[in-house]
Amino acid sequence: MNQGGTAARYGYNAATGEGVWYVCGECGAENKVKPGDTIQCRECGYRILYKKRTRRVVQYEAR
Amino acid sequence: MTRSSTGKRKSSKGGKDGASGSAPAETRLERDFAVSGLPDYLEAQRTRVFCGAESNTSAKYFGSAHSYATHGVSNSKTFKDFEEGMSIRVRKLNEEMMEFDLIGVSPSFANALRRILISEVPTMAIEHVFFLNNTSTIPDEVVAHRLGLIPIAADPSMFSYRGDAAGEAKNEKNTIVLKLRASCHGKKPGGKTNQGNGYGKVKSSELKWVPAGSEIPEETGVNFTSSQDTTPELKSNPVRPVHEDILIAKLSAGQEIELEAHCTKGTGAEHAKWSPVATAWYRLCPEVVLLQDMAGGAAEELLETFGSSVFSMGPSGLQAAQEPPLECLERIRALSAEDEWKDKLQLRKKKEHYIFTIESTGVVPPQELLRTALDILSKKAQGIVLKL
Repeated sequence: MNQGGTAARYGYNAATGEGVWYVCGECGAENKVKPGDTIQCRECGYRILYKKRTRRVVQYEAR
Repeated sequence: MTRSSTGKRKSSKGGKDGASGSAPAETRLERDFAVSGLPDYLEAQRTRVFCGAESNTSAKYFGSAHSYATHGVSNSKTFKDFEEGMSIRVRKLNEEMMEFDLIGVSPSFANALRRILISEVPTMAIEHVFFLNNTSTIPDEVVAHRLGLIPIAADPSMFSYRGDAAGEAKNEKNTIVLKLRASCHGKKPGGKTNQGNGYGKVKSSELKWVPAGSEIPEETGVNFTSSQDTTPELKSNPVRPVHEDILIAKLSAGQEIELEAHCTKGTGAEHAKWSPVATAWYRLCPEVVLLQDMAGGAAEELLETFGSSVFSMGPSGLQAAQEPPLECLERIRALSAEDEWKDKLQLRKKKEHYIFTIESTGVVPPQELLRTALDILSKKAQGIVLKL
């Protein structure tokens, strides 16, 4: 399922045209979507995909 | 209300009484404290709270040296009186709680000790949480708050306070770094590709100590000059949560939490997460007083109702136990309010005898907490002396 998990996975890299990973709203499968692709899950055909959270560090006070 | 005693009175500096066999049997007022030449009813009011039907009476504490000036009796207390009269007797002690008698101090002393235990004895607790990832359904700030409340087993004396308002840099002397990395594998339950199901529980045991310092120093600004596990005390006693089974979050398939948590030293005055006690409290020592000599029907009724834990038959008639069990107190109070019994039975509390309980969170043993709290109290007193 989720391998690697490097920061590069989460954003679209125009130079490589690699595409961005999205999560299916129905089955939870991860889909790589490139520019021009149809927005549809490859596993179940569901048409709502969610963008993943970035790994940018956020700080909270534990109070 | 009290039967008058004809027993001898002792001088004000006489120390403990009790052993003088000259007091007649009906003197039921136990003489714990230095007693001046006061009449018995005043002495009873000075040292006891009387538990009535609706309310307690004589609850006032006579702390002033001039309380009995009109009787020509000094109520002053010297340091020597305090030293001789004050005592601590441990009743129960284990890793998490301690119960002891605190005798011969004023309510302000006992309360000062209680307040210091709750809010001024330092511990280490999670203060900053850095989230790398959190795809769980629990929002970041809620996870951060839950983490803050987890007791961290680290000796607070090994660490220093971090300077005011985060002005001082975090280093190996004022910060403990913990990390948590948890993920739930398997497919989403109910989905078409469902394979495993269920969810994962993230428990406090997943919090791992990072003695070498932050793994993301650019983001957190934490730089250790040396690893904390080079310190012998910390190496032999690694930092960990006190309890391993505190639930932090639940993860569904595919969700993960990855974070770094930084502990700092603090006190309960700033936030309850630094309080070293679950709570600390005291109650006054109860006392059952028989106002009349009792025998026959009334005595048997009491014996039958309350059993031998409260009353026993002695050579001079019915006797009340030194300290009645907690669960009987309310029944005794209610009974003593009834017309039939109010001249025979009374529930009282000793004003300068506290039954003190410390419930530790497990970070510091309760006897250490008491010692530290007394040290803090003594430092405060010394601070006042210097200002005088």
